[in-house]
Amino acid sequence: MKKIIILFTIGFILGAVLVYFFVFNKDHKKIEQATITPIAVDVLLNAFEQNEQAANQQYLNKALAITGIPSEITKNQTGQSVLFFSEDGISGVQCTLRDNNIQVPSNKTLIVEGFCNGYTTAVLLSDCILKN
Amino acid sequence: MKLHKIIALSTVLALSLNDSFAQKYATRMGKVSFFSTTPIENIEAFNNEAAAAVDAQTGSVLFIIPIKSFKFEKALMQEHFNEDYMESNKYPKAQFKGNISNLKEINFTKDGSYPAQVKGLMTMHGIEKQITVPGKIIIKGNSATLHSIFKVALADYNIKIPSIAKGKIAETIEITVNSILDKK
Repeated sequence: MKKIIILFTIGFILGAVLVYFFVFNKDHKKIEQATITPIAVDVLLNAFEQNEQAANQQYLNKALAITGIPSEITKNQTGQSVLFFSEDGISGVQCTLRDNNIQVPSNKTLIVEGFCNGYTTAVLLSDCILKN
Repeated sequence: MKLHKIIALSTVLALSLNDSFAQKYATRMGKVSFFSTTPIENIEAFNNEAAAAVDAQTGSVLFIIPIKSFKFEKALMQEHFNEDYMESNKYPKAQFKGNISNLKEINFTKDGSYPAQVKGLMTMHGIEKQITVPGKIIIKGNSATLHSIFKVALADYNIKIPSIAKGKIAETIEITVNSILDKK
């Protein structure tokens, strides 16, 4: 009987620790763990500009990869690099890099992977990484 | 064509036609955060992807805030925020559209910190509500920083907290806007 109580207690503690680490304290989902869908910048942008609701259903939260030369490379107020892919400088796809202190080469074709957060005045990809 | 694209294109057209319109400020990387405090837990989240525009001539203010862009320290909190409370798949963004009530007291051509009051329509979680937001506008060179701290009652926007989380999430949360807009 004593053995059963000890085993039950150990099992309960182990279960609690596992729940804490894998449920309450689990890591944010990383782009490296996601299934990536490649998409052209203009296709993604057109989808949101033509029918935002349908585009949200198709792309929101999805891991996407875009390829192109950023028209603008800047930093946000938190110091993250933000790449903007745009033909007219107004509408486009905005990618916020996940890690600070990333050196982004200018005038170079980049492959950027990130999660789609929807559309404001640009299509937003967040928690992005550079693949090249 | 979407309304904000029309507004954006009109802005550029106006800029190219007349210098007197060169008093618009905008950003796609506005910073907005919220803070919930209860005796059990403090919860904070940050967003660096708010689009914002201010027209210094008319005093109009527009904020578009993507809900999924709020980042939490804990992944589980972020998951609950999006799935259970804000239903961000259904309502992916919040919007505030208003006007600066005391526009005459703000000199956009002179560096300084100016108290501002903005009245307008807040749309969040599918609910629209008229609000008045106090704050300040800091003019420095070619930028205008919009700073405001105000409270939002979750019940006003039909945001329901499940009984299991009651006590951990405040019924009224504090929103902080601290966004730097560049002159366009």
